[in-house]
Amino acid sequence: MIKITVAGVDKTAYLNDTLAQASSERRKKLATRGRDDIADLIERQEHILALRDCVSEREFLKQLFWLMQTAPQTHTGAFDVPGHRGWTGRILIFARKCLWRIFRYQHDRMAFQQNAVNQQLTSAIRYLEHLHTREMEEASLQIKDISARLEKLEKNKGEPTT
Amino acid sequence: MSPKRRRIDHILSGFSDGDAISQETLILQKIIRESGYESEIFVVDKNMARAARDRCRSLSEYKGDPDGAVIHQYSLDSEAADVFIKSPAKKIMRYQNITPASCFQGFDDNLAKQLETGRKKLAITAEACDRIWAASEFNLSELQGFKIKNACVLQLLFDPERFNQPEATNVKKKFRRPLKNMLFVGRIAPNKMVEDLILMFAWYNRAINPFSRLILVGSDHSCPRYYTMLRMLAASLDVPNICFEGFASEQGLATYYRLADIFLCASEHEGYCLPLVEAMYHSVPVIARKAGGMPEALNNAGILYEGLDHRNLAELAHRVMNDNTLRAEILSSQAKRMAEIKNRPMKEEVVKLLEQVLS
Repeated sequence: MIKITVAGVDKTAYLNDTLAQASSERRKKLATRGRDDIADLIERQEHILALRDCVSEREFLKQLFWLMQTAPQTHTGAFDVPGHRGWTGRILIFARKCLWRIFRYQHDRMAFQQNAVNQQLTSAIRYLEHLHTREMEEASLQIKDISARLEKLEKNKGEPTT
Repeated sequence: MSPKRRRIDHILSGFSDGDAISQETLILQKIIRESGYESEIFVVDKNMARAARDRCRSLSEYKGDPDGAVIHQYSLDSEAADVFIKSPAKKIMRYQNITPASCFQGFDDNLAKQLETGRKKLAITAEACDRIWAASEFNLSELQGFKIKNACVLQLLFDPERFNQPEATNVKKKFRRPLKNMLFVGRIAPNKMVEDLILMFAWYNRAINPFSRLILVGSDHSCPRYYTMLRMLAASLDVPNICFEGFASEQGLATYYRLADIFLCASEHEGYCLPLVEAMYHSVPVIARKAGGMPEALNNAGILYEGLDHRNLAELAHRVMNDNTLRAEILSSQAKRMAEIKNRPMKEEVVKLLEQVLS
């Protein structure tokens, strides 16, 4: 339920409709500019926000590893250059876009190398995690085995010798 | 030979500059010393910030004055609470509220366990106290049903002198470009719901006003895994100008408030929320979720919201920053609230409560 109180006075009725209308109009504007992806991108963050719902650190770590493996790359796509109004704004945007084109080659080269490092790191972490899990399982089996033998010994201790 | 002065000491589970509980302890200590008592702050060693070692002593040194009192800021289970219970002095619990353990599950299971134990032990600890000073009516309401004696509300103490500092030039230089600054101040902890602010800002920056910043000031050491989630979210959204500033000195903090165009708090659980008062002191319009003790901190000032999604919250923030009439209304209510806080006879309140304990 939506409620907005301004300086102690309930202004839900006054504000809520105007806010919803403004929000809806902005969404339409983005759609006309072909930028529906912005609203979608913001909506689609459940995979990261799912970290909030983990009930233990183990689950958190599992989810985190999955996230690191599914999205280790740096983005190299184009991005919005914020614009200023007026002719100085247009010149500024043009200059920024030119600079981006000039440095694109070097940037892509560095991004490629960074992505390679990221992949190596996530792989190494995954292998370490597998190794750790395997060692824990082996240790767990050993402990079970030792506990069973100890129990047997204690049981035999109580039995009369023949 | 001068008569031995009575002691009113403080026992804390942790101390660090910038932490509201630590700050309040310093204010209380100052009032207590000015009233003629001896007063030291005893802190669990491992949780004492290095910079605080000149102002605090190790918990192991605490002896307790049977003729005096001891104040414990209770917010989670720790060895400090055990020492407090065993103290020979009159016991005053300063109840700051306990964050729900579920907020930290997954992020920090150990801390979640401490919070859960703290809540379970709350009744025992409260019932062993001679006085309970709750930081808000919200906090006091949690103690209903316990067999406690003499509980009252002593709203969180605020010392505006901390902010009478010259500006931090490094902060001012960093944010010299004239963008709209949205500010949040507080520990980066799960109950603060910082992810809501990030989602809100993503919409604001991409759909409403690209000339904007979200400045998040607060230590990320409380919950590093939660901080990791927030960094991943910010990166995934590919939104520029989300500034994780970390811990700020008092000078830095004052500068952040002076740079802010709006202060937002989406926290789901707060005992009081001192940053709301700090923002009002700096005449920054405040928007906060209606939760916990935050309505009491604001007391009919600023804006309280419930049920707003990130897009509507962004629109509301935009409206506040651009609608002069609405902004003036908010600032006027906040000025009125600040006048109440400034005129509050803080020292007299505390002294009166102490006399009730010691008499």
